[in-house]
Amino acid sequence: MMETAFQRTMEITEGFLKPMVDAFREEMPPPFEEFGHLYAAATAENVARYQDIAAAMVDSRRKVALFEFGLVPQPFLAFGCAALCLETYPLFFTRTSMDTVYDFIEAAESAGVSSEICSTDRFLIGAAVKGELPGNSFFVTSSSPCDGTHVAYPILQKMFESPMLYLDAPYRYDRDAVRYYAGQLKEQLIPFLEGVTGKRLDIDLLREVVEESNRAYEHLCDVHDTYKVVPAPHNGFLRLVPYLLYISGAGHPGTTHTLKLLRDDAVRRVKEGRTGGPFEERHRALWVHVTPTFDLELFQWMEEQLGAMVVSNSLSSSAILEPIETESLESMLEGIAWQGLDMTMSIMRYDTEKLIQFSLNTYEDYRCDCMIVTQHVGCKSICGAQGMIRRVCREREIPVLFLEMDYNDDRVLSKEMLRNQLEDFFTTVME
Amino acid sequence: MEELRYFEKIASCLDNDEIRAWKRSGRRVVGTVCSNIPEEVLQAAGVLPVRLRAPGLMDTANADSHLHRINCSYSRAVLELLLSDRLEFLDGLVTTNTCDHMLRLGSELAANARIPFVHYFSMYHALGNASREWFVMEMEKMIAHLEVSFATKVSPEALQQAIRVSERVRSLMRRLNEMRKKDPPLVSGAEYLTIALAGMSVPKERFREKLEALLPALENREPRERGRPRLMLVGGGCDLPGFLEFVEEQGAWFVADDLCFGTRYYRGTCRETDAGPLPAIADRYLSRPACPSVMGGFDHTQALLKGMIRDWRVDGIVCARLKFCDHWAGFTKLLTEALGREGIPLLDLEREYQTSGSGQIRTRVQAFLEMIDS
Ligand code: SF4
Ligand code: SF4
Repeated sequence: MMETAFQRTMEITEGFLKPMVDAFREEMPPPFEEFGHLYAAATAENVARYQDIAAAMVDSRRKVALFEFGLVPQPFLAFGCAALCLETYPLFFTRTSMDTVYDFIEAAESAGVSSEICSTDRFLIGAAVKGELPGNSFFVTSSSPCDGTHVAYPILQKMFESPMLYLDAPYRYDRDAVRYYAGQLKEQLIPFLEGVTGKRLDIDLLREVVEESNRAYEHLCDVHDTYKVVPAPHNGFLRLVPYLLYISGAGHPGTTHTLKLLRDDAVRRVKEGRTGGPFEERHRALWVHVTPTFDLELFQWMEEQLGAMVVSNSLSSSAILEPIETESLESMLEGIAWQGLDMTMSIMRYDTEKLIQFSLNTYEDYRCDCMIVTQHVGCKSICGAQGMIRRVCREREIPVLFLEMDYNDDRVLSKEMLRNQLEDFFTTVME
Repeated sequence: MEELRYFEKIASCLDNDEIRAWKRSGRRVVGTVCSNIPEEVLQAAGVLPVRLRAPGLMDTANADSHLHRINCSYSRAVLELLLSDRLEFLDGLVTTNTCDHMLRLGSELAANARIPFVHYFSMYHALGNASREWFVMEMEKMIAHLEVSFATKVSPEALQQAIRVSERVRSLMRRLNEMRKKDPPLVSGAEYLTIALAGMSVPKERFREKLEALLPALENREPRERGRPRLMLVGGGCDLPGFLEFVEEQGAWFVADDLCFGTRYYRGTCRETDAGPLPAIADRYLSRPACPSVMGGFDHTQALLKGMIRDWRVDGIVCARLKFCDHWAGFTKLLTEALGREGIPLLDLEREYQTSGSGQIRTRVQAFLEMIDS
């Protein structure tokens, strides 16, 4: 049965997330009282993004950009669009309504989508089947990071009949490759956006958005830097927030503001030597690939029960160290291209050696002592890297745990089983 | 048929007498893993390209501990060839990133090969002008790597010569494909695939000679059983003539295909223009039915397939796709819907790389043929 577009999303936003913001502000349960304002700010920012999408759906002067990992929001904001990074959309539901996740996944499979395809893509197709994706919208996708994307977007296009642009993400990693991608942003994305929005590119507006995102980016880098301190400030859940905020909202003043709050708090703790707690940090784990999204309390449990901090995650350990150069249209597009390619799940297009090197660098930077690698059952890419990761970890004597699961769907590996495996690893291999 | 023996022998194994003779004359052999790797460039470097297959390989135990069980059985089979020292005859390998399986296979091959030349040819994944530019850049990178590794020079003349040789082969293969339009077709699907595979495993000139000798014999062949349903085969990782034979034995002919081990490999014409040989090579690849890994390629591919369905008077499509291949799973869904609107039935058969037949496949094919007949 078709439902009203975005209805469930807004019900959760208004009925669950908004009250949560107030609850975090007023009485954050112990032992996280000190962090209540940060949880509240991050959740409020999430609420603001979804409200903006709902507003754009009914505004004839605006459009909703449904974009894919491989891109960042800035170009869409410069055209006055509300932007939704579709690969983060399942997360919204895995944390708030698993029944919706099952419902969408089943809808996709009933529509003939193979159950072997990544659950992120099945979720998105199911959301389209169920009529949940926002209307007044268009799609922009790149050809990274994976086969699942290649399959899902053409199906979405046939189903949704919205305008869709495909960009070719280069499976090479040098500056020429970035320029090749940036060339497509100029030759294809800009004209496409002009067409769907009926607006001409305003380079000053783009510059404003990019400058805003640069401010956010500096906060992101700063806050990530604080996680290198032993023990690291903030808890594992909060540590995931800055990256997700940036990827979903770079260019929004609200995103910058929230990142600044997180950054200021973490920096202050470092300066004051108050980074530890509330639980003792005994292990520092690098999580390679996506962490399970359906177990909200997982990190807290790991910290409390196992003394294990997930200090970084390979997707959020941003490959880029420079803000976007705003001198010219070309330089801005190059920076946007670079962020899209090397700061998102597009890093899964790396060959295995580079993927491992990237993870090892992060492992060193964040002074980790073990790795946890998601073997997401629909991801041929991370699963196919298993053998080489295992060999490298053995050579370097890095303790590693491979977790076969579906990061969106707890029916593949339940919360309990997941925690059992983590517990076994930390109480045997790591003790 | 006696004249087909040569082709059957070549298709039945990976290494063969022609490759050994080529190597004895001091020349090099390079294995490729995908039909999107532009062989003309390798030929122009004086190298014999051989498309990697694993006929007769039944066990991938070594590869399974490197890749993952959700990586397709073709990618695991190719890695097994390397790990079990069955690629010792190669002087080089060209890997690619057609799909995630291929990307990870490429890294494993590069890490484990004791071969002087391993080149990563990075594929485009969206149709359009950019992809042409990318394809040309990738060919330039491959040329530079070949020149350094093999101390050779790839001249525009050598590229033109390679194009000419390949074009002659392609035009003969078109003639062979035309024979499938007859009722009954003059070559079965299994025979066509056998011949096509041989063309990927021997020097092109040698293949041309053999094919030129074969075609008249086929054209004058006694007609076989008429009136069987006419099928088209699409799918990925399908290089087993035995599988086609198994299906045809149920009472049908494969009169057309879009396999990358079959017609797609020979499809299209390389038209030389003022832009030079590399853009001409790129244009042929881009004009073929797009591999399902290419985004935005469905409508283009669908139109070409519909043309084949019409011209070869196809009654039904069989899609033989490998388990865990997302690309073919997605493409099959779209194709089933598109053809369904025109009343063309499609049988979706999921298989493993080495599967030539099974009771379940027999039952499903028989039911499909009955449905077509009714
Ligand atoms: S998890 Fe893997 S399969 Fe899923 S979207 Fe990411 S890269 Fe693609
Ligand atoms: S059959 Fe599919 S999964 Fe296997 S190599 Fe080909 S495109 Fe990749």
